Amino acid sequence: MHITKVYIILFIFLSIERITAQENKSKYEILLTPGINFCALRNESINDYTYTGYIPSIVFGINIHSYNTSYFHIEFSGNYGKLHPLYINNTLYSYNYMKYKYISVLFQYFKETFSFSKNSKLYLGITYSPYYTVYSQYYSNILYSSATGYRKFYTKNIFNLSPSLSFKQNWEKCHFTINAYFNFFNYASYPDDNYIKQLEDAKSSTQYHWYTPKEYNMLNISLAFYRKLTKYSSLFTTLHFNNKTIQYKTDIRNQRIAFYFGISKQF
Amino acid sequence: MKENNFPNIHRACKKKTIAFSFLNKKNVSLAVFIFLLYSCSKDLYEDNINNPSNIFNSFWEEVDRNYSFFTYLDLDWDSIYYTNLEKININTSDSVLYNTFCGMLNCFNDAHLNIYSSFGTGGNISYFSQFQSNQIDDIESYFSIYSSVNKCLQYGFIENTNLGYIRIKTFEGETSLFEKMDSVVDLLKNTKGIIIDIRGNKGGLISNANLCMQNFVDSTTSAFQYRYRDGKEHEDFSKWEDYRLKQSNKTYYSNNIAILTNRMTYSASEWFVAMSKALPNFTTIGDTTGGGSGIPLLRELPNGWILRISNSQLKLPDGNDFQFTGLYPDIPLWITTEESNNNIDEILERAISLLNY
Repeated sequence: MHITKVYIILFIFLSIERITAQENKSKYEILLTPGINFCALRNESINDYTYTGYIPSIVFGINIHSYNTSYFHIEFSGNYGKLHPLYINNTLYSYNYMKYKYISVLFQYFKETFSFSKNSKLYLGITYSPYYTVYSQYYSNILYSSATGYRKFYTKNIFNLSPSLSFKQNWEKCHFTINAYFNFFNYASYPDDNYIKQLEDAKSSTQYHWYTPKEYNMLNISLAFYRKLTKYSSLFTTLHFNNKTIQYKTDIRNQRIAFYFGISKQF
Repeated sequence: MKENNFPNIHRACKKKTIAFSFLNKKNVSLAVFIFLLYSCSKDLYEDNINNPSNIFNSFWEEVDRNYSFFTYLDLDWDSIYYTNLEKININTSDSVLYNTFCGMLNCFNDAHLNIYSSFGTGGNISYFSQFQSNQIDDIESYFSIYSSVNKCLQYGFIENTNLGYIRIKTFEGETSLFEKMDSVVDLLKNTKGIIIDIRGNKGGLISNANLCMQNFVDSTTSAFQYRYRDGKEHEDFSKWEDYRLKQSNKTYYSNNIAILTNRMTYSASEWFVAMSKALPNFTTIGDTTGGGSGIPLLRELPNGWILRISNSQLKLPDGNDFQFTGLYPDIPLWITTEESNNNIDEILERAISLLNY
């Protein structure tokens, strides 16, 4: 199974950031970023085509930094849209498009456990990161009378609890963070080919399982780098990878406008 | 006039300054950076649909990844790949590619394995021509009443008997066509027995086959088990799932039933026969069925051609699958050439004598 997902540009129409910071008091940030995302997807479990399109997306995040050196992070993100194939001869299909849906929620709590220096700290915490992804291809190929229908592919994780580790290094104009968490107690549904085919009587049902840490075997590592470029602009780059996925994302922000570029590949 | 122009020029210059103020070094660098990222990303999703090697590899991988009967066959799919790869290069025409695919699929002798292209349908298309048909063209002389319900269903009453006859020509088509089966069984409910003729029925939707079976089921029964290819290895399959026949609120027919089969009884029709094996009042008469138990999966090749692949295995209560072997009838019988020339349907006649005891 190979899935390549390319986010070219995310143009953010609205960005609300609210920060309060006072000495010895907790600090919070709220970020709301609805936008239009140019998305290119190729999921080899579905077919060999690349589907592209502009789809709406939203990211909503809250960061709460407690004065007593713990912090809490919540992030909700979602995409939903209709994509069309590239380079396909229209004479072969009456219609062919893909509906893509992605929702993820991330809850992280960290507590400072060790301080190497004033700007270099180690945190321990816990992560809860459910997600839901569905690719649905609807098509009607005119070469074969029965080649009309849909294919569905999804990955879902309803429940997980993961012990987490975070290391932060702050400099004057930039921050560097390493996050790592290992998935425990997963209640999830991975796709197998039962769920993607357009066969008659092939149930597109969800079969959830409790996965032991060994079965799920998912170690997530994130590297994040933030740099302030000017008074109003900043660059934020993250590299996230685990046993099944690698994701890269760069976010260049100038006041309330931001550009995203991202790639993710699933093995 | 000159004096009045100065402020306008000044304003225009100022506007220009504002308009191009974003073209500072950092923003230009930013734009260049985004452009470079965009250019790199394009390589990631560039398709090569016109590349025959790419299409060939995709074809081979789709069969390798999804075909469910590799373990039943003495076939070296890797070797077939390397043998045929030699024929493929950047200049290979679509017709050569198509013929190569047809040749590769013919190695399987599985009528569910086909390629659908702009050149037509290929791969195992002569599968049925290797068998005797065991069916005659005109059987209406056997009936007192014979009528077509729709393009899929025909029914009649056997002359001088109290036996009904249903012919199901195909299981291909909309559900509504097969919902008429209930009305047909209702018309035949007072008969002593029914003959269901599925000779020449090459299949269609299993759900339609199930629909046609519902009138003969009075309690939930497990008929057999099936599973799908599920993984890279040829032995990777999902768990076995029970295929159950469920009771419905339709007219229930409990008298004896004979199913007529031949080698052209294939795919969903064979599932219909396999379902009947779980019911006590069914007898199969005729030739062995075609031997296609796999549920076909449709896959698209990069150039838009469709590939149909057997994707499941089936396990009868005795532990066997009927893929390649077919379902052996309870009463094996063939129509000789002489009988056929004289318009005698020996298989139908045997079913009549069996039910009209």
